[in-house]
Amino acid sequence: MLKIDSVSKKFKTDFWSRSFWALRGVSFEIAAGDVVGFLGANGAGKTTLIKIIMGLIKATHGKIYFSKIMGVSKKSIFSNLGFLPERPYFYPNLTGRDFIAYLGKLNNLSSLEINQQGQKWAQRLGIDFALDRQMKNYSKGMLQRVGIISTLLHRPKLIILDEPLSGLDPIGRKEIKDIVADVRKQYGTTIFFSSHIVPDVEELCQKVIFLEKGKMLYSGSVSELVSKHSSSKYRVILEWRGCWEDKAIICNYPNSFLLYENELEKVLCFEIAKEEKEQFLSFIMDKGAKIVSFSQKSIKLEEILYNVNGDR
Amino acid sequence: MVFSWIELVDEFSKMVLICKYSFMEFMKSKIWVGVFLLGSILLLLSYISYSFAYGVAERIALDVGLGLTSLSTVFMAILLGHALISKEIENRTIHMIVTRSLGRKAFFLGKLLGVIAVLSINVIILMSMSFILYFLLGGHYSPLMLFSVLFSFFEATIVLLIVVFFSLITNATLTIIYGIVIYILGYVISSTLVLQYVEKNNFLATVINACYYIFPNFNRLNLKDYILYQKTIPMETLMMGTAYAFFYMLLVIVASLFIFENKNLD
Repeated sequence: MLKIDSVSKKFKTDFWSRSFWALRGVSFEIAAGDVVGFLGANGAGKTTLIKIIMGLIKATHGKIYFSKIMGVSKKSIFSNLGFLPERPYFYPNLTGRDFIAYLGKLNNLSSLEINQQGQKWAQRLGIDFALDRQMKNYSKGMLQRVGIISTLLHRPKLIILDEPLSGLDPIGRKEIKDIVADVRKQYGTTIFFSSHIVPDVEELCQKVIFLEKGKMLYSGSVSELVSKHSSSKYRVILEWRGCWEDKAIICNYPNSFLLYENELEKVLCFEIAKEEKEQFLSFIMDKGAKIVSFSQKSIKLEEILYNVNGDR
Repeated sequence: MVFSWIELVDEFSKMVLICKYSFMEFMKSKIWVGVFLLGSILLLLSYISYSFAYGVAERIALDVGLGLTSLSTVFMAILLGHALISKEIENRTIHMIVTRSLGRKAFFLGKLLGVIAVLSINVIILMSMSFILYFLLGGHYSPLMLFSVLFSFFEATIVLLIVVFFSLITNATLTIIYGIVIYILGYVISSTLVLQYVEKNNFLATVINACYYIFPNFNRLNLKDYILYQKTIPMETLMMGTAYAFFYMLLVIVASLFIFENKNLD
């Protein structure tokens, strides 16, 4: 659907200042139907890359390729694209309805289609009651909702959202996350969205691209990344009512680590390596311990990405 | 060929659409309150000058009225022009529009036409107020009056286009300063060329002569003296003035379009 090939971007803030690289050789591909999260801290270069994809700024090196499903000419490609920039401000004196109609007409939609689609998404996003108000009276969340409607209006094949959840309240965030999931499910739309909030990306995306200081640190499946990092440790909680000598033996079991002990409830919690788990379980059962729980230690994407970053 | 015609028609229809919504945005703003307030002040000042004048008082009222109208429309052009594109970039609204299926040219020209339409209404309102007062005070109609409305509109449009041009390459403050400076230069350069000091200094004369061709010459579009002193003006001069205005506007539009097409919209 979209291929980013060795894209670099050099900026120079003014004539006297030294130039700096905002992006350095970023390459990745997005397949049709994927929901891809674009992660990175503020200033990592996410918005710069999105602007290059959208043709708003030019890359210093590298190229952007769209698949033929999107169209051949620039115009046809852009008619299949939906884009929402970060924290946009729309014409304050136009109403939400005017703005939606304006962008719908720019996408060659008929008035009937604009009304039907606009109303459908406005109801879904809970903004239909305010569509006839001037946008200068809208809150940040309302503006974001109008932006989302105008992005979805023409049923694009690829949607690019730049920080769509920033500045929204928890309800607004949930609504937009639900819509992203629904659009993908109903229409098979490819969605690429940037965020610096990792749990949002983890919740919605199958794939993730992680950018740090203009360099791509990871590109691939979320589940692969999580399983790769979370498969090494298991957590065992057991109830122990035996003698203290046996307890000392259990605690000294090789490659196990006592995480905590609750003296009152006679509960012990161990962390054990993957390859030791079977032997450890049979050992403690032989000693008469009762297993309360046994689980793989879960690790959040956020922790993994911090580690990926820290490793470098 | 057929394909390119379809493309062209599509771009044109989008340009008209952008023009319509830009105009709508201005219409719904408080700009018209400002225009009518300005018009009322203009009327008051014209009437005051009439009351204190001796002899052909209605002409003095018209002189003040036309002068103030010209200044206020130019002021309006600078005000509207400096933020026309830069504000769209700053607010990222442009990001949502130019990433639709339309070219940057259609967007730029649509925005320009929208603001030019606003400016034309502004000129008509202010000029009409001046002429109405002039007629009420006993002045007579002259066909040149219509040309003076048109030329005043051309003058304001040229200033607007120059301001938009500078807004694409520099910041808002410098844009406004350049707009004002070029407006002043547009009136004084031709007078400077006939100064003895300049005529004697070859280098200075060459530089000012070059500036004369680069900067607009607003004296060509100033019909105030002809109306006030009821002088006749050959049709040829009027046509040349119109052609000059169109040529200059076209030149600035082409230069602006080139910059806008290649501009990083960040």
